[in-house]
Amino acid sequence: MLNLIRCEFFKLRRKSLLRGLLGLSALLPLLLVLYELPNQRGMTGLTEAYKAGRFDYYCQCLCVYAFVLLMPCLVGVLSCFLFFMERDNDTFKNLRTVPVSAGQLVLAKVMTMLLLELLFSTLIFGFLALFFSLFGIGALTHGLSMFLMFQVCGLLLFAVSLPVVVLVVLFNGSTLISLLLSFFCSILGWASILFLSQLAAGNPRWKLLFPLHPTLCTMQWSSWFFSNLADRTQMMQMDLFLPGTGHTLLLDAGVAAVSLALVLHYYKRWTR
Amino acid sequence: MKDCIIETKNLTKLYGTQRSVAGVNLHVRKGRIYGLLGRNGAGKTTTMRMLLGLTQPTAGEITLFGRPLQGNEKKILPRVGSLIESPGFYPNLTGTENLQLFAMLRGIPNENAVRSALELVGLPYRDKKLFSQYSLGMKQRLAIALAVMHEPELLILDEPINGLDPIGIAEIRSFIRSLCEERGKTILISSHILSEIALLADDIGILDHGVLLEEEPLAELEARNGRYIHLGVSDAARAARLLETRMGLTAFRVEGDRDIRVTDPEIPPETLARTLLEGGVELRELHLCEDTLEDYFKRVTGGEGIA
Ligand SMILES: Nc1ncnc2c1ncn2[C@@H]1O[C@H](COP(=O)(O)OP(=O)(O)O)[C@@H](O)[C@H]1O
Ligand SMILES: [Mg+2]
Repeated sequence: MLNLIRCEFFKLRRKSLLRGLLGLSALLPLLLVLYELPNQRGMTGLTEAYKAGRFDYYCQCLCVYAFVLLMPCLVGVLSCFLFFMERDNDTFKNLRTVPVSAGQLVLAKVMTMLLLELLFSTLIFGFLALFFSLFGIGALTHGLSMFLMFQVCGLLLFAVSLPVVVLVVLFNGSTLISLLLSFFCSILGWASILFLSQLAAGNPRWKLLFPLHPTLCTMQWSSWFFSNLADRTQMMQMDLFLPGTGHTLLLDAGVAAVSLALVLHYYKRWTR
Repeated sequence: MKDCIIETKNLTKLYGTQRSVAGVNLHVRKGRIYGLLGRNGAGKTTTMRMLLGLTQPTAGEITLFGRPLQGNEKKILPRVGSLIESPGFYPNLTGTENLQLFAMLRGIPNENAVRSALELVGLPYRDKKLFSQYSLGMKQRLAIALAVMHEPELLILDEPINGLDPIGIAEIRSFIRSLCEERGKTILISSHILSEIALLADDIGILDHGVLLEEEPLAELEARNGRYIHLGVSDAARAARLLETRMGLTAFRVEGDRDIRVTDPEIPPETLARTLLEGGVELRELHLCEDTLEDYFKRVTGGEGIA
């Protein structure tokens, strides 16, 4: 399996994928810096605690909100790169006679996507930390736990975004169509959260659906899990929806497992 | 047969209701070159895809190296090298990188395998040129290199000379011959070009509309079908009666009003001539003729010829 994953990376040579990831992961933190800089202009004697708070706040924003929007797009782009390669270049026959099975290939591709996702969240965190400390507008007091949050959130939201791969493989269309599809999924994910919250505001019975929404659960759980004690007390008072760790992990793992099974099912149909 | 590397029983593939391959019993013997000949759409590629487990047969059995293919793919396929239809490689990699990739997948540790495979087909090692910039002939050569890189015992090559120039064709032909003769490899090769098969194959199978019409050694086929005596006579019907009654001959065919083909070339021509003249039939001409493989192909497929 390791060998197969190595080969997936090998196949990405001379593709602009890694450069694109690097650019995107630098861009987001840069925008946040440009947003925060004017806020702090003229303020003097800022404490380390304040700076740490700002850094943590932006970490939370990126991780929880930006990732919810970004991850389906990222997964869509990655699956276009990885899953269409064999189809477009007619290399199935050479792989299948090695022999590499469709199952092995799908697993290798999803693992490669996961590794690229982890790279992406590491890069974003790295750039955020770099820029905030360069401009002196943030402190990495809770750096380690923030880094952990990036990885855990990234991983969970990646799992929750795997249905995008199912759609990409199912529709088996051009890259453009698939990208539009994943963009649409990302918007739909957000919209469904907003819509559900609206409904729940009108009629609390809709809250019963909250625990079934994987993205919503992941968002709420991670903002709870990675917040400090003071914030937690506040959250409790606000009577927010706070799913348990086991519940969230199980739900996300379930989504990932079902998606993988469907991807394999539809991918096998291509290779006939 | 004991020494068959490839054996199929009643191999059949349906696409919808169309029978692309129908009840094929193929026997490819060890250490020989088997030429599968057939027009476009005859079912050559479909047969080979089934032999490699790329397409599931609708019915029938496939035995490779004496074992059923189904369920033994992991053991059997590493012993097979193949080229199916057009070469399929990653366009963003160079030729060398493409081979390195598959060497990695096949678990071939030494870099020399890639280098020598490239040298064998006449492509440069560690060239900067990407696969997408290759010419059709170079792509085909790379595909052949991929097929032989892991030293397989059996090669399945689907129209391997497609897209090559005449010199390239000759090179690849002698390369394939040497693989068989010097390294003892068994080779199944398909082509729609009859002369190519005639030059290369030891055994020949003729596939037409999914049916394997004939299967036999090329030498035997040439000996049996190759030579005949052509008689030009004034009255073919009468001549036929004479041959039958006076000579007891049955190995002949009447072709039109004035021509007869005697399919046994060993009959002495003077006997034939005497019999006819004594019976009062005028003999216009008498030739010892050699049937071309193309005539033969026309005859067995019952249709037009092949290039
Ligand atoms: N995937 C497929 N779906 C439907 N029909 C197919 C498919 N592959 C091949 N065929 C049909 O099977 C027949 C044999 O094709 P093929 O094996 O490619 O012939 P050859 O290689 O001898 O030219 C053709 O009539 C072709 O149209
Ligand atoms: Mg073909």
